[in-house]
Amino acid sequence: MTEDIEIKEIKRFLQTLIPFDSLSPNALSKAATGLSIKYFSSQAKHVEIDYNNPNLYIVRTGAFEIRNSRQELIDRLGEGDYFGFQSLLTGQSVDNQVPILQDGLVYLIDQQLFSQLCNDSVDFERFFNRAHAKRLTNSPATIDDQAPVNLTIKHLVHQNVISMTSDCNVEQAALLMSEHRISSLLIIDNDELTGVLTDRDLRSRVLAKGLHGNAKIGSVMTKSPICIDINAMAFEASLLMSTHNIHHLPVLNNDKVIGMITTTDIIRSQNNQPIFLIGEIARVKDVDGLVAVSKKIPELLQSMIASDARAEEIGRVLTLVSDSLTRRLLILGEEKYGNAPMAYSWIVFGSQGRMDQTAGSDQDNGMILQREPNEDEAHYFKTLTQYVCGALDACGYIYCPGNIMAQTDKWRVDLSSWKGYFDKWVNTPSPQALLNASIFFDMRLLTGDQKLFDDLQLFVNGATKGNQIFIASMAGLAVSSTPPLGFFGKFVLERDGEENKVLDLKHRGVALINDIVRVYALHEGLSQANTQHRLNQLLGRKILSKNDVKSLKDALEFIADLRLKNQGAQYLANKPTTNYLKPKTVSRLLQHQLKEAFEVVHGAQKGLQSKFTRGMF
Amino acid sequence: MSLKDIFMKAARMRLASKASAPTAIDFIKDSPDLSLAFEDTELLVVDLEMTGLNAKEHEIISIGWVPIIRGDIKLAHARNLLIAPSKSVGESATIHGIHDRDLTDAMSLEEGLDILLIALKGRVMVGHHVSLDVAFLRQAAKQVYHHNLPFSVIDTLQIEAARLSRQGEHFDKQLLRLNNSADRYGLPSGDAHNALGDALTTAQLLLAQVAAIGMPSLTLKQLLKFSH
Repeated sequence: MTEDIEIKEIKRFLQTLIPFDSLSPNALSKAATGLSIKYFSSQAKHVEIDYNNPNLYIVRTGAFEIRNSRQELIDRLGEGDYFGFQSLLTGQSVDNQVPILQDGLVYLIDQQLFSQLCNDSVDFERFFNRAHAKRLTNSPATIDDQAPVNLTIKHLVHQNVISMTSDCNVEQAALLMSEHRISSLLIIDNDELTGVLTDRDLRSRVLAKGLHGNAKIGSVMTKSPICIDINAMAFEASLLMSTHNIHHLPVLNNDKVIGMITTTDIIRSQNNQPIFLIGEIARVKDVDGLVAVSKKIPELLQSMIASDARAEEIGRVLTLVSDSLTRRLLILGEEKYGNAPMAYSWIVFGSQGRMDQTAGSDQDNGMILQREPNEDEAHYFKTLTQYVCGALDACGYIYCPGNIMAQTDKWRVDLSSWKGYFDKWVNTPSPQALLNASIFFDMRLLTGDQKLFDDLQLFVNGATKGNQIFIASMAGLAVSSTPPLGFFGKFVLERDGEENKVLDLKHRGVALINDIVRVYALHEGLSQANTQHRLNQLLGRKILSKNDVKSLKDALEFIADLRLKNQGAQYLANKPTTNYLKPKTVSRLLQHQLKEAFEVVHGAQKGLQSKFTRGMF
Repeated sequence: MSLKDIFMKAARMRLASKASAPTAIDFIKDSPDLSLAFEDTELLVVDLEMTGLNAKEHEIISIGWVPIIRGDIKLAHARNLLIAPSKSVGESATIHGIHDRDLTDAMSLEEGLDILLIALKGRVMVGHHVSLDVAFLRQAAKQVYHHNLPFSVIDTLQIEAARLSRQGEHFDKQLLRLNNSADRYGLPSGDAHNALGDALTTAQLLLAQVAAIGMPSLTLKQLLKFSH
């Protein structure tokens, strides 16, 4: 042996990468000894790609992004990720830019070596061809197809022609419109569109002019209406409507009328789903109707996840939906069982209290009564709450396993009893009291008497603020479970029901941050229940540095976002949604960021411990 | 060309005229142009494995290198030579992991030095704690060519020392070790005590250092200053 030019370290690294693991030992050695290494500094802003000499770029260290010519983010890259393969495969230059987020080493494999590797392994070649196809379909240009700006009329129009001839009278027209519950009619004579008749025409051209129901449509309709082609963009329709101050456009396909599009159709397309869902809830007349509406919640959640909404927003929207359901149920309940004999507050706890509900949240609620009820009144409230809680369960908000619900006698009591509960939890801490506290202290008034709730809130704030023993016990509870990080910053995985190695993003992520922030909020006597709002209020207070607050906010958003994205992926794969993430299923960059987020949680726990529990445990 | 440069060139020419071996003459004549920018030039990152630390007493048993060509490390032109020593490697095997049995087919020092000088021709040599490697190479040149060789060298250890001392604090010398330095830039540290592996780690360290210095079109001359 006179020479050994193999660098084991590089070979070992390549071997861990899909698709390099599919190469023969010979080809793997060729790859490891034939590559070039570049170092990219974030001072250089982005990677200059030489399209005349295309290369496969393999990120070894550092962090990069792929952005298209419109500066939209296509992908984030970290250790073990690839770029540049598009021009390698197509021989064409790509308009993408690769901004450098963090200095790093990148391995380059040139055209010749890349071809050799493709010849060695079909899997290797297939991997990059697929990745190429995937990055194209993932590019925002195609995502835009679902967004309002690129939406075409075809997606929105109901291809259902409801028409009359112009010699019919307006009374017949009005009857047909109310029969189909539509606000406009197409007027077609001899197979040709001659006009449009709308609600507004009936009002301003018939009634206001003193005409009768026997007036002919032809004399009051809008003649030769402005039309739109089925392939036009949705925004063109809204442009036409607003410039001509009209609300209806007949839709043409090859110059033939195939339907009508209205302002409402356009608005509905603009991703305002939650508003429509909440609007629908307000119109529903019975529990069956509410159950039907609540079936649309998973779809709403998925569309919000897909549109990259912030986790905080998603939590708020889902909570607003369950709030509306609860309010509607109380109204329906009072219609059914009669008006309440006294004032009450419907209060919510836990995730609904914090406004961070996700898919499959259970219900945590209670009721503050104005005074101690007599037998009849007690019976009334028991019936009402059983109706509401039962209906919530039917809508998917399952009964609280711990019975923290207004239908439980203990949690449907007058103000002074509630005060008594809190007083006991705060002043004689026991394990159960502390566990209760972590649910009940995230409370919020959903509907009902504001004064009753404010009174209780004020009492609670007074009892906890500066109560060192109670705060210390809560702090002790908050640090009793740790984020899943071991020595040397490696994930500590646990097993889910199916024996997969996973991370629990709820109990060892989001919930830990909620616990930490709750202690600070109680210590400072804050009335907010939402963790992000609590953090906002803690900003600028002495107890927590500005940096710590910001890091916690970012860590919470990051972990919550990952949890939602993971649930979105589970849903699409037709699997039950859980809080478990298999770390290998996300990119190395995300794994790295998740570790950083867990580090923040770990640091915050330490801070909490030294501030509040020193010398106590 | 400054007076000093002219003088240096003259000295090199005089050296070359005295040398007899053609590779040594070529090497001496073709000195690197230090006015070029780092990203326009070619460097050779070299690392040696020896049987000990004393150039007069111990011997080279391995020479590894990787070139940096216009800012890129080119592994295709990396080499790792094994050199047969005159004596047993002895106890030093525990450090470099090269045993006498690995060196039965190894090349002679003449052969190895010739191949290195061809690769090093016109290029600046880079090393981590390069003065030790230079001492061994000079000693080898005396032995093989009976002649002294001029080396233009950049030392990543000195660059790192200058950087750390600029940050003010007194630092532990341990921090300057190759793997510790690489760690600070988040670089993977390679197969320790393998000449090629260490040369690669040193090359990556230099790229990171040049990026950290952050001067646009930094010349070799400026870089040499950073490393003294």
